[in-house]
Amino acid sequence: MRSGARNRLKVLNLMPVLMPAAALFACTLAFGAPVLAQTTTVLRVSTPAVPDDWHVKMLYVFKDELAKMAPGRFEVQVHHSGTLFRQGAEVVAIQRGNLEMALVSMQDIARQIPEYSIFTAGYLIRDPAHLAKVYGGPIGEEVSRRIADEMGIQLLQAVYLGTRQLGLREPRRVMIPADLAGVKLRMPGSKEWLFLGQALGASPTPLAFTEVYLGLKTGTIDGQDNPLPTLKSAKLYEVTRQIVLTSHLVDVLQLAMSSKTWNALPAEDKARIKAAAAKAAKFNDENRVREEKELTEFFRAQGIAITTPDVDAFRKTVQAAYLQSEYAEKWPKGLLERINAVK
Amino acid sequence: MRSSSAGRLSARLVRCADFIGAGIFGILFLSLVMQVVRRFVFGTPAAWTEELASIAFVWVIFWGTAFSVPLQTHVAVDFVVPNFAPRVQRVLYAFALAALGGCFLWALPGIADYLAFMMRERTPVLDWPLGAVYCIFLAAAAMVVMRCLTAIVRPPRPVHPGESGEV
Repeated sequence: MRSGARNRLKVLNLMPVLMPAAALFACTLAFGAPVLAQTTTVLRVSTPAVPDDWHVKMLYVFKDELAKMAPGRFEVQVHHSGTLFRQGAEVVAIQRGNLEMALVSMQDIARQIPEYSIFTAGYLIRDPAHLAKVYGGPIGEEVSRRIADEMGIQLLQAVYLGTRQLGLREPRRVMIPADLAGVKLRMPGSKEWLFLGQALGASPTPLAFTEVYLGLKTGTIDGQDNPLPTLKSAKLYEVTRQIVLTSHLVDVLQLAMSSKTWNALPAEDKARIKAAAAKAAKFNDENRVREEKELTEFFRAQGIAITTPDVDAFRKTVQAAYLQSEYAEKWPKGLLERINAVK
Repeated sequence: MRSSSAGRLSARLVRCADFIGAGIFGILFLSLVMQVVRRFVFGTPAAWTEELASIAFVWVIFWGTAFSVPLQTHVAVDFVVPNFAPRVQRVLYAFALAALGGCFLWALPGIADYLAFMMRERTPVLDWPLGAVYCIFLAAAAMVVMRCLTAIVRPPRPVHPGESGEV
């Protein structure tokens, strides 16, 4: 107690010194802010993913890697669960200068560059390795350049989102697309998704994601398609009796940055950001692939039948449907063949 | 005489605005009915019904706010103003209207710029440009500015004396 009193006394004695110091500090904050802003760049990242998702954990890896390479140079702010911008609004937010970074989907990009609906087509990308090679190679570079030119968005790194599989509420023998005739397959409510459902041979039914559980339980829908981790996190496996491993869409997300922010960075910072993004993506991809593998075992243990259809038959039917559609008319000439040729 | 014919014209315009508002509400209702019928009666759900319904919902709100609902029947909280003398009250109302109208006036260029920008994106199913879908907000904002100005110049009478706009 005595020492406490003495300390207080000390502080009081220091007041004449402290006050000007505090004033000086306040002045530095007020006038020195522009100077500080040049040395620390704030990077706000928005994603609809929840904290348990590898996509959010990946963003913290990105943040830590950057902090390791250049302490104090960047302030990465991770805004998860769609708390800063709702899903799908990130692209416009970046373009309007309200956001620096986001994990954007190719569906979002195709809304402004319709030619790139090719990247949302079923059975285009074969597996996560093919995905990394396509987006990490010359095709990815070409795509990035065009997106930067036309949309003002710099793609930094492609990350694996998941492989969509069919989940059915009642067991059914599914080997070829014709076996899905009449199956009410839930799809997200946009024409591209509904087209994919149709191409798979089912009757696509639009339904909000939040209603899928009840829809499966009550029979409003007979099935849904999502990557396996979603079946687990949304508890859809409780109302699913069969999983058909169609692997019809190997989906990607792009870690992207506003071109305005990107172009203002010196070359060494660009290199650091690319390196950090690559490490983050590696972390995400490895964990996601491992989780998908482990989940098949988990679902089997829950008594869910896991069947593998004739994937080649599905691939042929779906690709043919796309090629005859209005979407393929817009696709850049020869791009499909080039993507297929990437080994 | 001029004022009475102008009054008749404005009454007719208000009537028109009400009909359009009711029409939008009708579209909203019918598209929801269509959604239920196609999904549960015919088993072939359509994607456009939900989109049309949500667009109609946005339109009915902004159309109603700006063109149909009288200014004095909008939800308002007035704990303070009624305690003053009528003359002071009028000044305070004018001040509030000027603030409201001023905000929307200040926002107009920003809204217009955003709408022009959003012409590049389209709705997922109907394929309508988003700038056109949201243009009702610009119209509503412009209308709010005009109505605030009119109300400052010619203060509207309360619908029922003593309960001007409280809900």
